Amino acid sequence: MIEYLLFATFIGLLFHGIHRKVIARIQGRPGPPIWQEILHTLKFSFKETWIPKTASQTLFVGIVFVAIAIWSGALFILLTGGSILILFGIYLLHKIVEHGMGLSTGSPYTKFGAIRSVISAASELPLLVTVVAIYFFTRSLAIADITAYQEVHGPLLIIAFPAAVAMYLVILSKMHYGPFSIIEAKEIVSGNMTEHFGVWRAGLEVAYALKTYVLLYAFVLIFIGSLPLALTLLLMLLVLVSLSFVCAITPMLSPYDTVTVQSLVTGALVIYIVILGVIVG
Amino acid sequence: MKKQTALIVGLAAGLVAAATGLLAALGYLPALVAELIAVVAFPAFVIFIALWWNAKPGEEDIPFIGY
Repeated sequence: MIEYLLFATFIGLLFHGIHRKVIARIQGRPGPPIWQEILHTLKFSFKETWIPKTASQTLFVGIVFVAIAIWSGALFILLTGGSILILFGIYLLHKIVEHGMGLSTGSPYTKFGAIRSVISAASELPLLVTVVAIYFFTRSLAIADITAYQEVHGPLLIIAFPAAVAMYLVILSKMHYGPFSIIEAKEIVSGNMTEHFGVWRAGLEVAYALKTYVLLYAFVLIFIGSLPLALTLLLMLLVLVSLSFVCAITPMLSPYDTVTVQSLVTGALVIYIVILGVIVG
Repeated sequence: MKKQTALIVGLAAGLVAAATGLLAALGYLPALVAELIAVVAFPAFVIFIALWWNAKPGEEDIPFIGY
């Protein structure tokens, strides 16, 4: 089991490096090498590690364990063909992790990040309507059933394209340097992660690597289907590069614009679902 | 926490996760149980191994609680 987690962490960190490289190349910069995020994580693990005096010690440390644990669990849900509803629940738990991380330190910057995390709860809405839209077609929320449906009827990417766009937006909202990355904006230093340094940050980098791997893998599984590992990784990479392209050319939105865009997409998808309900029944 | 304690906890977590995975692969343990153990053990493995190699040799406690 641990080998899956180590593999996903490695690929996730590599994807983060590729993400930075692609953004840099599009912006006309050389950018770091693609293995930079792996080195970055190792570097953090060697840095001086402390717990701020103002922090709630248990929450400050515990939140790092929880962050890694929830995305480890999410990976196993994907591997075993479990329910996307549980995946949705884990996505919501991640929101609590972001919030808890920010509030645990006592720093004003991290608190701003935590509050922005709550504001950006609108990013969960497209995921919820994506789940409903998928159910309309597959009549099941189990990933195993969804992939089986696609083997017969073709990829949901074509059949339920608006739902795929909404899920794409969900992944985009969780990407570093993206238009919706308001919780880690530079005007609040590193947002809710500002005080988590050294080993704690290395742990968070591992958790975020797992998160990126899980979200991209979920997108491929849910909207394209179950494929051989090499092809799945290639498709995940293509999705990632397209996300990097969006991140490179889009400035970071203000918190209110972020909520507006995500709510508009949710509204459009609700209309789509209503039309589906009328047509499909 | 002492440096050696971090190493023991980290290695124990890694070994438990690897052993339960092996037992599940051999059919001695339900896969779900092995997954649950891996979910709990993996964060401990990552954090405690990092704390171990981060710590300086000596008797002082890690991590430092200060600023």
